[in-house]
Amino acid sequence: MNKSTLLTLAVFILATTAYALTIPGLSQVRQERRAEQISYFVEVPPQLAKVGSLEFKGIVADYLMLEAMTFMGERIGQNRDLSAEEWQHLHRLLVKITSIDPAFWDPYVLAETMLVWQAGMMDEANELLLNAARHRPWDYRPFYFLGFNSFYFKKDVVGGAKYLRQAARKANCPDYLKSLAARLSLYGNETALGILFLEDLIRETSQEESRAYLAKRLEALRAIHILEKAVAEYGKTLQKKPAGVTDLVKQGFLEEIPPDPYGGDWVIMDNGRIYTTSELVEKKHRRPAQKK
Amino acid sequence: MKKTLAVAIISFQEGLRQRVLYGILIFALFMMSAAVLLSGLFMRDIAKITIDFCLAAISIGGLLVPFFLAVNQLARDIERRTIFTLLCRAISRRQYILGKFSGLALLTVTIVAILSLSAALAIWTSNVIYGDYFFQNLNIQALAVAVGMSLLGVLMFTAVVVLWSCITTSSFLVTLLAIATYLIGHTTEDLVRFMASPPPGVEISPMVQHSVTAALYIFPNLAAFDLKLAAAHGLMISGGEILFLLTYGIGYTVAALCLAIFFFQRRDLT
Repeated sequence: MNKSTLLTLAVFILATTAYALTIPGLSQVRQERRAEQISYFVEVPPQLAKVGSLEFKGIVADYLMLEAMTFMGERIGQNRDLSAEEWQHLHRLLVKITSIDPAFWDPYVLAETMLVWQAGMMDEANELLLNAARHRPWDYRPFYFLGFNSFYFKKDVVGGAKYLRQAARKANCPDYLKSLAARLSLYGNETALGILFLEDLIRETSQEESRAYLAKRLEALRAIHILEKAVAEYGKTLQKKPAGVTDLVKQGFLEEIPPDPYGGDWVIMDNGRIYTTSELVEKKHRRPAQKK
Repeated sequence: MKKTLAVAIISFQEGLRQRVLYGILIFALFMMSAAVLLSGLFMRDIAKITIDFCLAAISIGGLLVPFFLAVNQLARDIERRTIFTLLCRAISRRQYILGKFSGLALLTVTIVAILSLSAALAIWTSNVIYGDYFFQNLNIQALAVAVGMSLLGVLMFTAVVVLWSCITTSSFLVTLLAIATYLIGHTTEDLVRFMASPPPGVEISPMVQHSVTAALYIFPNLAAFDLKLAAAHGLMISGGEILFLLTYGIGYTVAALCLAIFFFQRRDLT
């Protein structure tokens, strides 16, 4: 090996080491800066974003969806709460994604699982779901989600039944939902509906982290369901309301109190429903005005 | 016909000499692997993500021909004086243009065929990895139509690039015109739709309206041939729309080539 080659090799090794050493630091700096903002694309009007995507609307929508999921994932991973402004940003990004590819299902699911359950932005999510219903005429799920929101969150049985009937008319609607839609007006247990809804979501979720997130919520609803059934049985047998959940164990209606996976304490409300002080939200995410 | 075919084969071989197919194979491998791996990051629409990537790869692969080969083929022939060798052998200028276009078209078809095979492999792999549940909406017929229309769109665009090459001598100018044509072709339809029902308070001058409408008739409507989104969601377009697209695409390509021949026959090559 001659002198010149050796020199080139030395410079190459030095340069490679130098740039490789900067990679973790650079990633850290960029992540910190990027964490403060969600896509620049949010500021672009939806119509312009659509036209600007040219013939690559599909992958532009996919990329933005990945960005929205990363944005949420980073915050969940760091146990960071989203500010009201950040929720608005996420909502605007989802609007953008669905205006580029209106039949793309993932953004609607993110709106339902995050905007509704975590941020209480039900009106915004419902607007997106109505858009989904228009662009996915073959799919029962947009109306199913809308029906669930009306019934579970708004306590609007009539509105919820209307949406579930529309969902039941779709060819891909599962049978159990059809029968549920038919007897919804008589159906008084919204916890059971919540369990069905989450089981359905988990069944068709491939991503491990999302499955774990939904499974935890399902576990909490199942615990609430067990407790509510025990409270009803207690009232029926003893003709009085239990003072607390421990009474259910003392009187032999339950062997043990199922724990709240979110770490809250169970409270029996006057109407016999179970409330948890965790409000089904992770401790670090809890906000004073958090909706159930 | 024989002479046109001879020019077509020469153009095709010239494309091959530039190692286009090797590049395409590497690109296909990269895009399809990305399709399979990236789709796993999403929650539900896994089939849609895989198909989005595959169809985008096919489009990009097809577009390489008009953007990187068609823009300078004619200019290079003139620069290297190889055009005179061909024209001296009793090949007419019409045969030369038709042959050039056919060669480029053959190259595009080969590239699209290779990428389509890789796409089929990527979709199959994705299906095996993630399961049938996420591929319920997979519609092979819709995919085939989307690929076919994408190919027709690229051929139409290539014909326009050949036309620009016949009008101007500079390959830089041809590239600029090709980019402008591509952008106009993908946006004019949306602009016309926007002008048909502008939001309240927005006034559009008649001159702008006429210009945009004129652009819709002059430039190829490439957006109409983009059926990727519908195919990704398993939606099939109607037979009527397919017929319209075929007629429009073939008609426009033939018209652009006729115009190219017209200009090339009058061009001073010295």
